Amino acid sequence: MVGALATLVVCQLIGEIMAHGLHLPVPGPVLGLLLLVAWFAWRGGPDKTMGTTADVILSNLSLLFVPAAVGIVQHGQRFMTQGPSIVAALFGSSALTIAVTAYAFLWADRRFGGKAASPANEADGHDPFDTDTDIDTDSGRAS
Amino acid sequence: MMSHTGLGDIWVYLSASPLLWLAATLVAYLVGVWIHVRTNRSPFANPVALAALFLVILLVVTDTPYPTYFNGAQFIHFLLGPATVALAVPLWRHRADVRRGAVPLAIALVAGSVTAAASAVFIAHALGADRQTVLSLAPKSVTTPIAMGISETIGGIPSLTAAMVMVTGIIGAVFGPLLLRWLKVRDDRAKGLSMGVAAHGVGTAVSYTLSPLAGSFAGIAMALNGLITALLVPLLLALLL
Repeated sequence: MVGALATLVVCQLIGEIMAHGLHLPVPGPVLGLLLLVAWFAWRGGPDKTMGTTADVILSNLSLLFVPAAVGIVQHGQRFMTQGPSIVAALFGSSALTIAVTAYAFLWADRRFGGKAASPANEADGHDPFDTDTDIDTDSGRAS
Repeated sequence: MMSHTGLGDIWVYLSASPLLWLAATLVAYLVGVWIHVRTNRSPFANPVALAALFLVILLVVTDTPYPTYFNGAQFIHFLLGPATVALAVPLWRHRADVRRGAVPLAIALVAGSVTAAASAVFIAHALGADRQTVLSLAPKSVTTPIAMGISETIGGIPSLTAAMVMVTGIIGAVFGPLLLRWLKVRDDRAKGLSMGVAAHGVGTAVSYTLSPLAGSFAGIAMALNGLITALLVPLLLALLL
């Protein structure tokens, strides 16, 4: 657990150093993600504890957004005065983005894609807060 | 002279310590999850939205400034970075799906990134929002740490962008699954991608509840959308404004 956490934090740290040192427009954690994928490619995959640690963190991902969401209290004034245009932009843009992305993928997948990789709806009613059900059979294959 | 060490003193002590607001955040989230489960996982009872609502009410009622709150909540907020790196694990597990769908994936991501930024800027500008608001809205579909960086680069207000990002995430989490059902999108990869592009990590968290495959594609979409938006938004703004 500690080893896996250290790996995540060190990858992020190297990512931050690269982003700032090389003035890349890419954020440090995203570079850290790419580094970790490269590490897995070299090592043949994540070990068992890394798999479990990532599953625990990602199945509680929602919690991590709460502090930023509370930050909305700082901008009450702006939401009062420009509320309608902000709300219209957020709703309109979200709906358009979802529709365009989903249909662009389906179109391009028919046009350029191979056979469908996995059957859709493989796990209806999957519980995101139950970390035990989320563990992929693939984890630990290279431990 | 017992009355001097009353509840008021304890409050003064605790309200300045990070412990109180860290505990409040965890409890508010647990209550949000409890309500979410109790309502049969209704998308309208989103745990992030509920927890934020409870905490905002608490901060307003107790007249607590946000920086005091964040002093405690930062320990949770900090984990967003390692969590982003941890997305490497589902990405690795689904590498075969990703490789097979690489071309459609790239096309959908670019189309989605451009739509997300351009439509938000266009609608807000057309409805008369001021320049700082419009600029702060441009990276609204990107995950918080990336969005704040973009906002700063293009002249928006980073903390306002963070608030917009969260509202966007909650809108996507609440209405995205309904919209996808209405649009008759059944492919889990398409569902995850669109949720990740439109609603970043909050959409990714919801996609994991649809299926692990949808969640993985959402995570990939979120990470790559961050990259693409960081590169494209400055160009788009030069064209649009």
